[in-house]
Amino acid sequence: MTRRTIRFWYLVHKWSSLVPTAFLLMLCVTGLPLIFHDEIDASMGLDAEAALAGPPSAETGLPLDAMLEHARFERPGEVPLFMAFSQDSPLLTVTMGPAPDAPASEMTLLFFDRATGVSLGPAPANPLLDFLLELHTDMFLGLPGMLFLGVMGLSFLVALVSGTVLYAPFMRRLRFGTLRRARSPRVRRLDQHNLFGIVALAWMAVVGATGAINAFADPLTDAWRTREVAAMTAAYAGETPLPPAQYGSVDAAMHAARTALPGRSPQFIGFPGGAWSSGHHYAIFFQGDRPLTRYLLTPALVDAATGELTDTRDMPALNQALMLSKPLHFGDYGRLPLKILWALLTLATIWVLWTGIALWLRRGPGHVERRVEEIRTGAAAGAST
Amino acid sequence: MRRLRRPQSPGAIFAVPVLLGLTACAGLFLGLVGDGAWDAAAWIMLGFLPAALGVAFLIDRT
Repeated sequence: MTRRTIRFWYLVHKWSSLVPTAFLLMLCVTGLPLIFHDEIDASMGLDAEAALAGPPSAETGLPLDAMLEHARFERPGEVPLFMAFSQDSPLLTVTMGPAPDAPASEMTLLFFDRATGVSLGPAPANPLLDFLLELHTDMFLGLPGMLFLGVMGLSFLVALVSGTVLYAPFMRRLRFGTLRRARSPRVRRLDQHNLFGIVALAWMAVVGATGAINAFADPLTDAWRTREVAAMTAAYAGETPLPPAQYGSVDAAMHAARTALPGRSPQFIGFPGGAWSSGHHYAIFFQGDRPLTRYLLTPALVDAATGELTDTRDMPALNQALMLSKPLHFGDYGRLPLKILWALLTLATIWVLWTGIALWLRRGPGHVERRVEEIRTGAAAGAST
Repeated sequence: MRRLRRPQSPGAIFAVPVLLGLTACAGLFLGLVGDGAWDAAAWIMLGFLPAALGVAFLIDRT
């Protein structure tokens, strides 16, 4: 590699990591407790699902229309926005709001036992984890905050690529895993930065990329609604949205959708006028029937007035990638041992970020040229400093 | 001290990192495929990453 090439990649690595580093540290620190949110909720007695016994709400139970009546009774004057099912317990949730297009801040999430019809009240809140989640997702800035963190995630990916490019010339005369302990603090820090970085590389790339995809979730959902849903419901174009008073039976809609997609289990229903449906349809989202496809949703759009199926179509590739990226970002798909590995690798990432900051803070005059020379000669020049 | 006299080829430099990376990616994927044995495979394969870090620190402690 020529000196010019190394210099180019060195500067790319320096700036692509310096710019997002404070945000990446915040994401690591807030992400650590969020990995264990199920365990934390359960230990605080906030796991509503654990206490419920009976068949899963996705398969059977009391009529959905009866459950909606309960929700309307609890939130008089409001309209249903979402209904979500569990594959493991009779827990059924209904999201209510003042209008079909109400923003998330005005929504109320209600819990029900579909086996008995008993209301479990509003979803239990965990203020600390909710705070961390919002900081982690959008820093309390809404969509602009999300997109900004997404761009920081993309910059992180550039830092991973450029760091890997520089790893090659630097390590030419060092065996994998070499930690030169007898040397100066700077050399020790550098060796740890390189070792932790190259070992955790694949995991950091996956979690970084899936985090960035998640940051663009809202625009991706909007694009799906304006393109795909509009195409699926072309016959309804130009009609005024269906008023909530004219919503028909959800049970009839579910029956029509299950007939069209036999063997699939429903995950949630987007009600008319919301971000996940058209102005006229119940959008019933089914998960795949195999383990790998359970993360991929297929919507069935059912006319909310008549209960007749309008269309069902797989989500576009980008939206499917978004759905698959959620478990890969959260690390919640392989029980507690996977979560512990997620936490260990988050700590390794924090160490990569911290040693990187320390290397930058302790830089001296003319450091760029000296570092470029050090990398070019294979960790020789400037190694004593 | 541990500097090699002859420079290594890119293949030699990246042999272990690529092996670790492919194993970790396979583990991440296998965990998604199913539960039970699939999850255990994911733990072992992803577990090579923290294990590699631990080994590097142990071996060099001379």
